Amino acid sequence: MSGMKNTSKKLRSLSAALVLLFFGGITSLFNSANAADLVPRTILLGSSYASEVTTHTFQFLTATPSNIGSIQFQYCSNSPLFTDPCTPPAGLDVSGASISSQSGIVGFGVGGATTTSSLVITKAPAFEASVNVSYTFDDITNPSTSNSVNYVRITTYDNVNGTGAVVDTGAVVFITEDPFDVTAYVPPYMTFCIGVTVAIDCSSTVGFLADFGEFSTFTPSTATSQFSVATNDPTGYNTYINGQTMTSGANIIPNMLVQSASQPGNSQFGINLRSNSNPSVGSNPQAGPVGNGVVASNYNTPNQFRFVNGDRLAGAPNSSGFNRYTVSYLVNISDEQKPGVYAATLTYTSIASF
Amino acid sequence: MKKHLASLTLKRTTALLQAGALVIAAMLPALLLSNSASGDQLTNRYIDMSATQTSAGSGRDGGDAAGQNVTYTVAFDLATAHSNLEGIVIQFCSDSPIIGDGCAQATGIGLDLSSATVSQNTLGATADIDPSGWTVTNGDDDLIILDDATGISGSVGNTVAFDIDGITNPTSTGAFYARILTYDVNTNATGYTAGNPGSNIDDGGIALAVANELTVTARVQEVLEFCIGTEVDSSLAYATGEDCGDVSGTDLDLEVVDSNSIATTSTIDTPNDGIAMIRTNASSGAVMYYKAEQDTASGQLKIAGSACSGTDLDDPCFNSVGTTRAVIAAGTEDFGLALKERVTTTGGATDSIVCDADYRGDGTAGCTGAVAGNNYAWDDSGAFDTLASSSGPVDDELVALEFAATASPTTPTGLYTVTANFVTTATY
Repeated sequence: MSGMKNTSKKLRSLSAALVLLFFGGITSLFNSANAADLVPRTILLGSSYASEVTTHTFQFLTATPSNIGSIQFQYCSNSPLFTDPCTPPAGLDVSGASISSQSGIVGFGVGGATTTSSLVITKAPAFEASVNVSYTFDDITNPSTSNSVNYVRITTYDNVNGTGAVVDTGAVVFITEDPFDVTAYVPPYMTFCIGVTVAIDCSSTVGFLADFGEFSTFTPSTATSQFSVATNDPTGYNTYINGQTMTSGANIIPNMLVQSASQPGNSQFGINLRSNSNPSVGSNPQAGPVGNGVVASNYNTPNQFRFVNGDRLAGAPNSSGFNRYTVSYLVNISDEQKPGVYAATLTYTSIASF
Repeated sequence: MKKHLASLTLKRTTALLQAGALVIAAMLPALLLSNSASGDQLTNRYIDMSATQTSAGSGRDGGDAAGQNVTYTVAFDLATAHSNLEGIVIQFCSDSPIIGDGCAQATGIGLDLSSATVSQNTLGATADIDPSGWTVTNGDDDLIILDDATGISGSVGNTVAFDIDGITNPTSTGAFYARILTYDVNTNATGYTAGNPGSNIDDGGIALAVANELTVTARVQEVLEFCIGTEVDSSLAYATGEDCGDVSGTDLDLEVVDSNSIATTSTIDTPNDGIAMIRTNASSGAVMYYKAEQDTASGQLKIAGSACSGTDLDDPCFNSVGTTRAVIAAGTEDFGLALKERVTTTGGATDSIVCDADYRGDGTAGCTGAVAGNNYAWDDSGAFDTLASSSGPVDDELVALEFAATASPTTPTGLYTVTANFVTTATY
């Protein structure tokens, strides 16, 4: 009799266990069968670099109007499928994450169920309609492997801290990337051109011969040429002139050793880099963008001319955009000036020190 | 003794009865056949079901329509000449196809003919005999009778064909049977019962079956592949089958940049455009962004660690084109990026990527051409800026990234660099 009682008790216990197992199974099936997909859903990283501490922003539309008490973001390196085991990405750490912004369903805080690879946010359960939500988390350490594919399984629960029935699910993917660098080298350079006329950016030059025509004892003879200079040398540039005065065999026209005005009837050869009215010749320097060159003082006075071999004509104290200078040449002759074809070869040199 | 004789007599009587029973049993099939059929078995007979699923759990209980409104195509050839074919009987039984046997009606397994109608089928249109216009008697008793008092003459081998529409299949899997009988007197057909089929001409049985649907489920996981690299990878030939495994490198070099020309990663001595490739099955597509990493508070192309001063032309920072596509002019310090030469043949299944309006090298959304008119953009603010996007899945589409720079005459000499973070986000 006693044995029968024991058998009966055992059967009842077994039945109870079977009933529990059965209903447990049903509940489990119910949970998974009724979880709807979170569509659309996406993740945006503040940075995709490996091991970077950055923000992760999740946006999705909750699918099922239901009580919502918590949301789990489970990071996996192997699969987005909820039926698969989850391998946490190496180096990932969400344990120190904080919510920097939330919208849609709000009132969440980071839950105690959060681990290194699973971020759970929780709030008091409340019924929520289907709504677009957005959550931004700060201080998430990205996985440490570059160019790795990582999945985040998102699950909404009807109770706190990732408990209760699953409401909706969905997975998103992100990739860690290496920094992408673009490099360029800017060399030291100086652009310098000379001609009868030149474009201010030296894109064109015209001529190399300035012709005075026939000299006169009554009026000054003039001619012009131009040069333009730019450099990225932080110490700037200096432009010099080298050469001799005009000669015809053994006959010379004396150069003007000091700044002087034009004196027709007196033999003289000189230059300056300004716009002159007596005689009317030349132009003031023109500056392009960031052109900060200046004319040397010996050649910077209108109607005053000078020519000394090796003189500095112009310069800039630091890097400079283009400056175009117009050189005005002046020749006067006296009655005693010997006839002949007079010529001078002048060399302009611009130097940057770098 | 008498008792003994009596016993013997009884034994003999029993033996006679036993012999008689054996004779009757031996004759029974012939007698039954004689009772049930006066002709031969219908040849080439079949019933073709338009659906063989059970109706359980579907249609009637709010599920799908499997096993509902099924059409049974009936066809057979006459085995005997019919002077005037006036009736056809089709009965469905769950237990036996044998004419004259009792019939466990297939309604017991859920077959439902109550809404059935008869129509001509495509076979019937060319058949010798099409009874689809005859009077149809049907109910929920698994029996359909077609009769026509006028009838039609049928020769041996004539094909009879018609459809029975609107049938609900049995609710459980397994076999069931149909009995088909032909009559040359229509009232014999209308008087048909399973146990007393009446005087018919030809007949035949057919076995049918319904089966469970086999449901195969699969889950395609979320896919995103994105890579950024350089074109100089010799293994990348823009051919079908290329993928991110063929993209590598994280550095691009514009080499020497001066004020006389525009240096681009396409035209320098060693061309090395960037390459971005995307693959995703995201139904809402993907977006490719970049942001310029902030070095000393700006994401300009600069000498590392240098502070930049607005749009100065003599600070150690290249000015950036900005977020709006604009022309770079040689000698006017600028740095920018454009997308070009998008290729879809590597994957082949999609043509999805649309280049952002500010980064279209050729000015078109598809950006399949080369950079035209020196148009570029570069956002040095450090915020993510969209480069390209799709509204649906992308199958290994790649696009080249051309960087360009020109110096001003005063751009300081030095090695300039900028780092960009490229991110692609897929929306599933």
